[in-house]
Amino acid sequence: MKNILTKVSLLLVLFLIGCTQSAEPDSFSEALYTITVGTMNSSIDVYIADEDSERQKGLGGIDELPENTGMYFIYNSARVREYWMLDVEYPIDIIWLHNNKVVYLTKSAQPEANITLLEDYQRYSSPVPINAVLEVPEGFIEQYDIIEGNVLTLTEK
Amino acid sequence: MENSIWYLSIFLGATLVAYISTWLMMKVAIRFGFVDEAASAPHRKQQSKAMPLLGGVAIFITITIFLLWLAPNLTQGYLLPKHLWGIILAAAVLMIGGIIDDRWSLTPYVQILFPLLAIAIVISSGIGIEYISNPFGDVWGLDQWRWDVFFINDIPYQFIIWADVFTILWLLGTMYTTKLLDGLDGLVPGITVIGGIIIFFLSHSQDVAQPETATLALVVAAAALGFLIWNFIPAKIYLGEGGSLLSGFLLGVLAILSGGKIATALLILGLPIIDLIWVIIRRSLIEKRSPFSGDALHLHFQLQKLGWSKRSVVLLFYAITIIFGASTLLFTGKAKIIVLIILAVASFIAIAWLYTLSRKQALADEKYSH
Repeated sequence: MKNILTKVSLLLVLFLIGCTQSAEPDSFSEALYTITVGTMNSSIDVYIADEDSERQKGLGGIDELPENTGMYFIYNSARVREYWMLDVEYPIDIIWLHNNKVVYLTKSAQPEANITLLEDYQRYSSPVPINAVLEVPEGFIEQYDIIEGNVLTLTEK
Repeated sequence: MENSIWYLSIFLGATLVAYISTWLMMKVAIRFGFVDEAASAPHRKQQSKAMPLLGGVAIFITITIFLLWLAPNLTQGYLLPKHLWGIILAAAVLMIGGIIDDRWSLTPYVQILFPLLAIAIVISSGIGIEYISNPFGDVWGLDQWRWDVFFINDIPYQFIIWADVFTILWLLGTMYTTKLLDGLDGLVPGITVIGGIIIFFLSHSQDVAQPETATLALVVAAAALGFLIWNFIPAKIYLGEGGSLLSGFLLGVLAILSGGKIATALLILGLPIIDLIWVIIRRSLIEKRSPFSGDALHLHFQLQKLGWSKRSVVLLFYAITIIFGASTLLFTGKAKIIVLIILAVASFIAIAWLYTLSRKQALADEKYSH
């Protein structure tokens, strides 16, 4: 009996360790790149997410998204991908890109409160394959007249 | 492209293909001796023929045909060709194991190798559970701790420990639930039809619909329906070991693919799962024997012992599955969890009550036999 108890406790400990989330999210003071899209005169600061853990976390946990900042997700392959508003507490616009061209726009993705089950989160997606996604504050698309076909330029600060 | 007419044609087409395939498998099974000797068809008073098995092969054939034929449509979005291949290959492994088992009875320890291999195939094709909701309203990321197992063209194929462990447990769970539930004409196929249809509607309930998983769910439901026509009381063919595992496998995979609908699938399979837990508890803790030992403890047997007709039992299971499955379409979040808890508690109470009833019956029978 004691043997089983020890084994179960060991498994439980391993389980808890394995499930802990990664480190605290970074703030935007570390944005090292800027982006312009389409006919924008000025550029915005972006935080880059080009690793799996960063892409999965996304804007989750970041308390606010100041005007003219965003998060730019970069992928190695082009495919249809789903995004959700897990832990994102403010509305955002999502710009879907393929090879630096805007291919789809999602306006005003709303934060979802009181969701208990992951399966109930709305999934946002593009109808065509993408290899980059730009998340920006709500209203960005309207403000800068972003349309499909616009080209995105990424520059180091 | 995907509109109501299209879905309807697929549904009818797959049902027809499954219906014909089942008829074919009946002939094949009898011709090559894949029959269940113990179960004859009691309605046939003239001859006592043994019941043909291999019904699951008909479902497998239907699924394979439609997945391959519809592959261009299915891979427009979120699903990749490798996912479809993984499903077909895994299903084939299950059917092979089932065919061997139907003919030459395997021990439980050998039996389980086929489901495990099927799960391994599906996981390496990229299907898995990556997050689970935890009770604190947060999320456990199961994607920590990845091992690069090998590289092809510089692309890593990873074993993601916790995600894969959960996926293994999940699919084993759904497979063995349907496998052990398969003791009554029409029971498992019927639940598969209901589950498939519910997941079909769920895949549409979000603003950006998932037409690919919706189509997949529809094909599964239709394949099960085509078979069910032959399998409903009085059955003329059985699923067989492979078929019963395949049903749970398909439902489990559909739940994963359609946005991680684990809670939904738990509601669809809720009653059989509780029944299974209760049977295991009863066998191992109360009566102190192997949980693998065969007996008539399952809910559908107990109800029959109490005088219910087979038809009533099956229809009851359908009704409960429909009610709780439909609740996933109507409720979200906390409400869904509450419904899940109600189902679990109610099932548990009902089954425990039946247990005491059958104990009383057994004692009463003893008295009268003296």
